[in-house]
Amino acid sequence: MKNLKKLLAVVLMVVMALQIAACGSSEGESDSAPATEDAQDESADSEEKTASSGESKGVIAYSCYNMSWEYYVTLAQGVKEAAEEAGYEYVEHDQQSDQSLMIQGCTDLLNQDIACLVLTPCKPEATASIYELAEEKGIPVILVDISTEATGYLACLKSDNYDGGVLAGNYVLDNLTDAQSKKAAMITVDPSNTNIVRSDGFKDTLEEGGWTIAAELSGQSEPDIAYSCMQDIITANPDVEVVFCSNDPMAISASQAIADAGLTPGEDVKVLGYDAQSNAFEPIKNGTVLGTVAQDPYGMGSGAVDCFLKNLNGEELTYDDEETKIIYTDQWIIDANNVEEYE
Amino acid sequence: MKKINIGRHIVILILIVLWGIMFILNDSFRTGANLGSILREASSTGVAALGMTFIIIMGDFDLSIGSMLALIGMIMAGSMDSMGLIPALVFGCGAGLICGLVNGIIISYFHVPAFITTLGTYYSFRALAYIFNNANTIICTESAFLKMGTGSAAGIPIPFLVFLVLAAAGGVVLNRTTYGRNVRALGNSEKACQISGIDTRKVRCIAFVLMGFCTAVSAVIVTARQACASPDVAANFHFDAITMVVLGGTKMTGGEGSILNTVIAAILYASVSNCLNLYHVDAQWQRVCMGLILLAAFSFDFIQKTVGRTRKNVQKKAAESM
Amino acid sequence: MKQKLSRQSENISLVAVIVVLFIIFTILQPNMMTLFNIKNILVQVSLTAIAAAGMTFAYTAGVFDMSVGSILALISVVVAKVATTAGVVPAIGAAFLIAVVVGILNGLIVTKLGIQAFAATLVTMILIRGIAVLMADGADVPLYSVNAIKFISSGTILGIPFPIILTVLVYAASYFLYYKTEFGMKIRSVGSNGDASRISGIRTDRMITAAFVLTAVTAVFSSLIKTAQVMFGKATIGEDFALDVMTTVILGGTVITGGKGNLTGTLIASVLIAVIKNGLNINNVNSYYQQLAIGIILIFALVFNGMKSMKNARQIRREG
Repeated sequence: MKNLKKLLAVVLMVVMALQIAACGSSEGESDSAPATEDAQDESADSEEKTASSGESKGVIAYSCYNMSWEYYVTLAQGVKEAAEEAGYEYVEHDQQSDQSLMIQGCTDLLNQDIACLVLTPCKPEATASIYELAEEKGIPVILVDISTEATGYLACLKSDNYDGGVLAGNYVLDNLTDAQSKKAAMITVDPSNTNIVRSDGFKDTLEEGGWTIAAELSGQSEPDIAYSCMQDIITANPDVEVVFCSNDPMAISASQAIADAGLTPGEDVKVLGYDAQSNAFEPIKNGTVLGTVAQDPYGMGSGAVDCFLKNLNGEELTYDDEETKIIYTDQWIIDANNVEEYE
Repeated sequence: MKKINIGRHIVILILIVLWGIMFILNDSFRTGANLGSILREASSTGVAALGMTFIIIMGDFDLSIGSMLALIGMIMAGSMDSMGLIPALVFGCGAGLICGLVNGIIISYFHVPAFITTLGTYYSFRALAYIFNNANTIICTESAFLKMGTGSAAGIPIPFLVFLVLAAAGGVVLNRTTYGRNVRALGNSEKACQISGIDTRKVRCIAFVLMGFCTAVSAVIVTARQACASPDVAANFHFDAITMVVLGGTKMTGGEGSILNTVIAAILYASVSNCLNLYHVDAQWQRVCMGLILLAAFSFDFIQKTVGRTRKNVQKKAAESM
Repeated sequence: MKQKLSRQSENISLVAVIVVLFIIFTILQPNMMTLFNIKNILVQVSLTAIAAAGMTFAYTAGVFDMSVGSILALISVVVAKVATTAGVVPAIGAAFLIAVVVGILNGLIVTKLGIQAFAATLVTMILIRGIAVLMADGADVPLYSVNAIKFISSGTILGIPFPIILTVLVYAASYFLYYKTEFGMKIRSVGSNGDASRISGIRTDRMITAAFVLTAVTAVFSSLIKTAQVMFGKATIGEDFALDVMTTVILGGTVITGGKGNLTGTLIASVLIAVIKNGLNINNVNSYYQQLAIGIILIFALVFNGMKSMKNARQIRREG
């Protein structure tokens, strides 16, 4: 009797926990059914997954690097709307920048026999097992925004990050013709391949144009770390003229740091960002941030679904690079001249 | 045959109930692939949780195992191409033993509290993992190695078999050897141990070395499953491992614990996470949910006491009214 | 007497390390010595030092708080949201209110549910982070419209940056609280011997809860400065903050078992860690080396301490 009571008490606690989770998860997603557990019978009935409810053609799932970033929210939007337009159900998975969660989540999704997996891997090197399982199950995988060396995906839609860095570099060379010290700095994100490639593009272009990269620090994608990096860059190189940040939040923080140092961002030191987050438009309009490299995440997302549908119909896909099956999406610079179009 | 006290192994009942319900309600849950996935997931961290069980029974804990795993993974993957599979595994295990020894010596012989030491090594091991290959990931292509993480034998995932073997060994050590007895005694009272002549420093140190070994095995499984070693892997590993031990009912105050419970708790933890995935629960809510489960696990004592107290009150009232 | 002397000598050795490092870094990069950089270092110091003051009280009471990082994030999001709708003053008020609530929650879990501080704050760390992320709803909360808040991080009074003034004020209050009030005495006694304190009539539960409230409230200051610096409310900040703050307190010589807090040491340790990070950044050294440096210093400092206490113990045994 005593043991049964103990069991009941603990079970109730755990059930409570999952009930709360269930309440939270039923917002915002068309396919998430409430999750419950253990002894609660009443809620047990409402658990059925609606994947094969007869109307939808199947599930298209998007597993994403980190859904706290506006860029990926837009990408997901692209996938969602294209999927639903084509009559499929849309399901989302957030890897939270954790590679173990990436593998676990994708495995669980594939085991549910979805129609297609759209994937932005937080750790591209770890995708081999995902491709293996997908092939076993006959589920096509389409990469968006980040490519992998391993093969096994149907197509990869991304921007050419190196090219993006080059774009930014050329922008500097073309527009900052009255530069004096020709010193630039970069605030990157160190363990991220995408960001490193962007900075490489920028660095190579600038060095070819006769500039020097005086400092390169990792802002680890955290605005407060980018802030102190910028401070320290100014200390070590008071004549730095351009700072290239491989994403917008870091760029905004950098401009704050410049202002707090008593200099004028946009005049004494110019900051370039990347990703065209909506937070950056205000600073671009008032000149504290020089510009940002815009990509087309929505296009990537809907393009991925298009590829899936074409493949389903037996059509051939046209790649920009046959070997790596990459389809490039556009990139362009948003600066004070054209920022109004995007608000 | 020793009678099994159900109270001590509640976690088994919870697991059975959960699986029972999920089996009935969810098609995807029942599939061999999904169950295999749960067992595989449970083994990745579960192996380390075995070592952590010893440490928590002893009254300490180890915050550095995530960083240790990253470092071991890097060393293993780094040496695999040039030296071959077996030497790489040896290096990996060696690295684990050395890391564990570093923790053990500082804690036992220099009397620095476990919390602080493993805090320091949490930073240091992780930093070394980054420095090892300049923050770059190392890809593993050795197929025999990859099979260790992704393969199955007779339908059972290989990592799970490894997990069971190690758990059996751990159980024997904990319950049938003098060393196991010493660990439990140390968790109960350090003074009593010293008085009865047990070399507490050696007992402590060995526990941390064992932890290093278990982390090395986890590193093999994790790295094999991911087919790559990267310095930022296993960021929350220590948290998951400690949760599994505590979920199994082992108290953080030390003195007693059960390897069997840790194994079951590992499977339970992986099952809950799997269920949340199957129902596409938002990532943030998953985190909140895990936190609440942890709270429940930690509150076992409190729940027991309250339930016990209410039962006594009820009994008293019943006796009075007679 | 011996204790006080040994604590002084610990503090002095920390200061010596700072001076040596500073000289080395300046030789490598002369701009280290500029007023601009020193001001930056001191502002960086204030980010962890203020929260570390609260954590020192927690350690003195025999507990510690792993959830300060999540508190940092929650406050950041709350301040951003309230400031853009209701203004700066309500935002700051809301921040402190929430901190007090969180502190009391932590205290209750530890004292009423009987869960150890480590376990309890591990749980609240996850729960509070979850709440912060849900509140932010997947995005950063911008703060541009509220220029007034900039003063917290960039404003100056008589040329001294505001965060530094905050640090001075908080530490002055902390010293007073710790050494000159009954509250301080009670916390110290709870930390060194909980049972004896209870017998002598001190409400240990209240003291422990008060310690948690102090850590949460000091974390608010740090969060305000950080948020004002970047003009964003972000739910993802502070992942490593708790460990950084605890490292600072431990390095400063506060004993983990309780009863002996070393506020001066905490302050000096914050300066040391900031000098290391700044010096390495200015010399373009990767952040991993910074982590390695801090980890190794922490271990060495404690091994050194451990060896000293072993020597003392042996001496006492020999003499006694």
